[in-house]
Parts: sequence; C-alpha cells; structure tokens
Amino acid sequence: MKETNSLLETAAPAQREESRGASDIVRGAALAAAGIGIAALGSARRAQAQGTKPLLTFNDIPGTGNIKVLNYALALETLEADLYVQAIARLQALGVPANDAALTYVQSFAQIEADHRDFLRGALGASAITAPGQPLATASFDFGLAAVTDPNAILNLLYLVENTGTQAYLGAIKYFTDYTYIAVAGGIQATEARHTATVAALLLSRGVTTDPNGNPVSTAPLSNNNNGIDIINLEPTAVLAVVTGPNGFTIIN
Amino acid sequence: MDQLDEILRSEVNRRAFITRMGAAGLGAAAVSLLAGCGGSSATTAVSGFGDPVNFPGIQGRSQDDLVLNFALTLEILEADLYRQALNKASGRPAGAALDATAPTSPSDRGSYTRTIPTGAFANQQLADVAFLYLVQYAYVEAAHRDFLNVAIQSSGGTPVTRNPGGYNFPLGDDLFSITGLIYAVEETGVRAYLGAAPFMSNAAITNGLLATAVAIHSTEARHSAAVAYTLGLEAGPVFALAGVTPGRRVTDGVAAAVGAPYRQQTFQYFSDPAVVLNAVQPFFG
Repeated sequence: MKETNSLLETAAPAQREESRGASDIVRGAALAAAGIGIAALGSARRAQAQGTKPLLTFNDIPGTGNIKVLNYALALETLEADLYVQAIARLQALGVPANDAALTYVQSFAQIEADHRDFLRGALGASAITAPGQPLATASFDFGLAAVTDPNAILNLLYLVENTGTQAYLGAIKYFTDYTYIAVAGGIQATEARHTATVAALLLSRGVTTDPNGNPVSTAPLSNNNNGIDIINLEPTAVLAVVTGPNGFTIIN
Repeated sequence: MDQLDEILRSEVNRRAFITRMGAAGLGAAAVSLLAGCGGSSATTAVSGFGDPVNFPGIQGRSQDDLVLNFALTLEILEADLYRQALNKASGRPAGAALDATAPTSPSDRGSYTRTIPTGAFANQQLADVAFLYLVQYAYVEAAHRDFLNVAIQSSGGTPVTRNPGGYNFPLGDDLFSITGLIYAVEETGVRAYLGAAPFMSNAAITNGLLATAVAIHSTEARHSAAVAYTLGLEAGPVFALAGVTPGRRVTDGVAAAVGAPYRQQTFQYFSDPAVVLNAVQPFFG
C-alpha cells in the first residue's frame, strides 16, 4: 500500500473521474475552495471575502535557506491554527457536547498549533510571511466548514491536514542550510505526528476508516508501507499548490 | 582533557558541544575551553570511528554511521520488546519469532489474539485497540530495524548486532501494564532520535539521511501518541514521564520572544544519546 496520505489529491477535484468514496466534506471543502457554488454553500464569510487566491510556490516563500523553510512552516501553521479555530466553532455549532473526547483533543491541539505559529512568528520577526508587507499578511482561510453537518467529516479534514503537515516538515528538511533549527523543526514535527495519530485513533473509534482522499486512516504507516517510515519526499511546492491557488484554502484580502 | 580531544577531532562534535553549551548560556566559555585544550595527544586508540562522549560503545566510519548505529541499537531493542510483549499478550512462547505475515490494513491483527487479561483500560474498545497497535507496531519496529541494517550495510558500514544475551523487560501480566511499558520505551525512542539527529553531518541534510532519521522519529512519535490514547493519557509530549529518559527542550538557545513560555505539549522533548544508551542498559541481558 503506497503512502499517499497527503492533500495532493484534492488539488483538482473537478478532474477526478472517480469519487473514491470521498465524503461530502471533501466535495464541500474542495468546491468551496474552488469558488464553485459559493451561494449554495451559504458561507457568510466566503460571500464577504473580496480577496484573491494566488498560487504560491516555494520560490514565493520569503527568505532563503533556513528562513525560507521556517516561513514555509509558518504558512502551514498559520493555516492549521485557523482551521482548528474554525473546526472548533463548527463542531460546537453542530451541538457536539463539551465533554466529547474528540472535541477535547481538538481544543488542546488548537492551542498547540497557535503556539507553533506564534513561535515561528517570533523567530522570524519582520521576515515572517505573516508580517506586514509579506505574502500572508492579510490572509484568511476558507475550508468550507459552514456547509458541513457531520462532525466526523470535520475530524477527517483535521486528520488530513495534520498528516500532510507531518509529511510537509520532512519534505522541507533538505532545504535547511545547517543545523540551527533542525531540533526545533523536529520538535514541532513530532507534535504534528502525535496529533495525526491521535485524530486517526479518534476517527477509527468513531467508525471512520478512510480519509477525505479515500486512503485508509491509520495511526502510523504499516510495516509494508515504506518500511513503516513516514515519507520524506513531499515537496513544499506540491503542498502549496493544494493549499493556495484557485482550488486552495488561502484568501489574500 | 581526553574527552574534549574527542570533541575537537570532529567538526560535528565541536558544533554540537558549542550548541549545547550555548543553550546553557555558556557559549563563550565553550569556545575558550576548546581552544585551551588543543594539541594534547589522545590516549584512547579506537578502531574505526567512535564518539565515546556522545555515543558510548557505538562504532562507525563517520558521524552519520554513529547516529544510524545508535538508532539501530534502539530499534533492535524495541523490536524485541514488542516481540516479547506480543508473545506474552497472545499466549505464545516467549522465544517465538513474529509470525511471517504482517498486517496489511489498519484493522488487521494478523494471526494474533489477545489471551492475557486486559487490565485497567477505560473500556473494552481501548483494550482492543491497544492490542491492535501492539501487533502493528511490532512489525513496524522490526521493519525499522531491518531498514537501518540494510541502510548501514549498503553504504559500506558495519551495523550493530543484537545483544548476545538478549533483552529482559519487566512485562506485566495484563495488557494495560504491558502497554504502559511500551509507552515509556516508545517515548524514549522519540527523544533519542530527536537528540541524535543534530549530530549528523551537513551532507546528511541534503542527501536525505537526516530526513530519514527524522521520519523514523516521526513514526515513533505517532506510536507514542497512539499508545497514550489507549491508556487514556494526553497525546503528549509530556515533559516528565516515569521510566523515560529526562527531557530537554529544543527551544533552549533559540530566541523567540513571542509566545514564551510554551505549553508542555508544544514541542517534542529530546534526550542526549549518551543518556539514552545508559538508560537502556538495564534491559540488556
């Protein structure tokens, strides 16, 4: 079984011939991100957005060497932190009780992602991709959650994004120029891996066995999947091609 | 001064030493200490390349070799822990090898069935899931071990081998207590990989070796969190855990004004390789 758990496959939803058993959240999120059927999805936030959705590549990430890698990480952490905020709001709006195990985990993970984002912002200062004048200074994110009615679908999107983030850090390591930030990056990466595994366990406990791309939900790669080792070849430009651009989640206001 | 001579011989060690000292606010002192010890002759003649300060007892041809053999040392141990734990949990003989057929899907328990009592899991579902992970991760750790063995050999190195006297683990008599030990060892492994990775070479950054080491660390972190989930614990990382090597903070020495101090679970903790090697000695038969 090939390890393909990444966001890559949502990049061009309209081109996919088969549904792969994709849940409504995938179609909903992908369609919202593609700007199709906006009114039908009824997202008030989306209707107010006047921004553009430019496609970013690794080249567009500010800085070089270590700074560029950290800014790539900051872009993803910024997106993730916002996803968690939106996910919690939607889960609560759907009536998920406060003592629900999944909601409890999601709330604690939300704090951690915000910590990651804030740490990277602090480390990068004026060079941060979110700083004034930089590409994501006025960014917001639309995940299409207003149209989602199944809490499991929200968890599944969180799983997909965390799994992608876990792999994204590994794919970016080779772009560091020295070891200055390796330990810190590894330290963040491991927590993404922990989140991924925990959300996977929650999904499996709730009977959800496939992710939004139709791949099996698993806490970790099985032994017959790349020797049970996370993939290291997920390129930054490939990830950015999914989360930004016309079909992505990122809106520049 | 001999230990510092060992450090002086290697550019990577020098960098790591200065980084560690810098984290403790002793950067300038570290540099002057090294300068003051230059030139004295080493008294230990080592065959091959060794780093007795950071990787005691590990041999290799290069710094990267030491890190991989350090990793392999732990994976051999971990694979054996899982094998023994799975045998005990499923009523197999203690010396039995893993069944040949590995799980092929996330719900696949292979040929194993739990026979020992579950113990203090919060509910039956968590106990079942803990057993499922026991099976799956047993094969994964064996796969890691075999992968590292091949990786070291194929690059012309000599992989470390299984301890001749085997390994002894304090395995409890129910699945919950066994899972608790698994959690402690998995978490030690995560900290070990994160603590060892910075000792690799500059070439390792670009040739994929560093990413591979961090990728294995990533899966151990997944295991640790998944096992914690079955035990009813937080996803972690937890700073102080019984039976786990002491944690150190990756943010030490890295300036970050915004957001500090951080929640306990914000960054994975690491342990020094030498500390880990000492800590696992009691398991060596």
